[in-house]
Amino acid sequence: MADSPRSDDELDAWIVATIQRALAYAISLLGNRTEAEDVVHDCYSRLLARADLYDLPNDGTKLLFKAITHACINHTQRRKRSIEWQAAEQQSGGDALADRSAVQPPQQAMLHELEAAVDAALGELSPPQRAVVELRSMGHSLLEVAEMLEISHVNARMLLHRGRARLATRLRPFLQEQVK
Amino acid sequence: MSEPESPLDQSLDRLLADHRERAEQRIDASALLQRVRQSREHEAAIVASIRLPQPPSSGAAQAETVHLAQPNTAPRRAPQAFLPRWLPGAALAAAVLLAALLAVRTSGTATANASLALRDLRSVHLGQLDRCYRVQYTPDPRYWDESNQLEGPSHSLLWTRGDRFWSECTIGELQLRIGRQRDGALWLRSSPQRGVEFRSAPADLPQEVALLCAANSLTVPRLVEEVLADFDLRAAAPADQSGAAGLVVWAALKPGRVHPVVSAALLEIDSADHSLTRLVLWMVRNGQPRGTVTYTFLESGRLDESQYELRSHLDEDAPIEQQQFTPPEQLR
Repeated sequence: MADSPRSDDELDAWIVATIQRALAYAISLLGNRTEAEDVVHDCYSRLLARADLYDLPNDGTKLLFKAITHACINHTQRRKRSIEWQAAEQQSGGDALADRSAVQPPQQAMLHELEAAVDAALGELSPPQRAVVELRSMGHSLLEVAEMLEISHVNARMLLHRGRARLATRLRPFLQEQVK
Repeated sequence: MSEPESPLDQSLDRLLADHRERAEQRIDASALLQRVRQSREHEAAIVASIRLPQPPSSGAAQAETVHLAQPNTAPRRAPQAFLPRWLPGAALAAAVLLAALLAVRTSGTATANASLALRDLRSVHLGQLDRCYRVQYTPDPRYWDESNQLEGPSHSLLWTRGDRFWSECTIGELQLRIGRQRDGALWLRSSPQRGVEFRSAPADLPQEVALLCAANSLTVPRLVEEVLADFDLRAAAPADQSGAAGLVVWAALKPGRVHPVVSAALLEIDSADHSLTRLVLWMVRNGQPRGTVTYTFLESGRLDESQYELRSHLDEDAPIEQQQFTPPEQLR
């Protein structure tokens, strides 16, 4: 339980600080911006409804990402239609990725290629694999990731191993560039 | 526990982290931020308003409501106004009057815009086009004790045409189809071998069936009739800065009015074709918040007429039960 109720301003600052990352993460897992917005909105609503129980500014981010991970995995498992990340990108109203396709200096073209390759590679992972790989790359320990997904440490390690192996195969040329 | 990472894994993590950072920079979350903020404000207002018209009957329930109201409903305190002593009373009165006039004018325009938008919306949705929505019900964790599965989280695919609908609902492990057919009868199918038609007036339906239908299958014509009748409307500026989103209409219960299951609604209306793109309903029962239902537009098209009839969802030899209900006294 939170020691003292947080003020509206503190909670608002927490929302502002986390919402961009939360939305990007949900879009990455779902591949659809509209659905991601609904999921993130829902997760915030549920956490904020219990703001008197949790210390959201301090502990809320982990809870938020845990809630988003579960909601997205459940959502993906029951979704009938699959919409590709590219479609979501178009839906989001034309962003920097789309803009880059006009006149491209070589570096931007390479970046564009990299973005497309990472999106495609992530899109090939199962939702739990993608969640584990993404959460791990955010700096969460494997124990934390296992806790967030409510799975065993061994299971989390296996998901991470398989997810990374698949990504490494797909992204080998870019990884070799980076290692150099 | 720290995991030893190979250089390749570290490199992969860096690649993903950079990718995520670039994605974050591209995404404009301001519309969602506005939605979350408005939701918070509305939720607080709803909890506050619920306490006034319907005080809980038992002491325990009252204590719970008061406790709930404290963290979220405390109105933002306005900065203390220090008025100079020399300010003449008349000037103050004029300022107050002007502010009041401006406020009434602004709010009047917003209300008129909202009413017009909802009339257009209703008229568009009375047409013959079939629209599909994803419907998600999330119970308020403070009031759902997980004992009644029917009141738990649910998700549905809802097809509507005018006031007809059919919906495939998943509530926990329960799979149901519900609908309203051409003759107005509600139906429920629990398996291809079992279907029930309800010939009772909506007000006479058992509470669970009424709530199930209200949470998973509110058609736009019915919603608009109810919203227009009992709710105060306010049109808000489009949340999406790109202009892609249309009008946003907030609807909150008029003071002193009571609705059995809905306490407030948020509607996003496409400005091009005046159709509903998103709807959020704040559910209430027995004076307590019950959760939110979110409708998200997926696609439109033409379905076969028969899809809205119970018969088409049953095996050929399956009987159709007819149910009629006499309302219990307390629900009248």
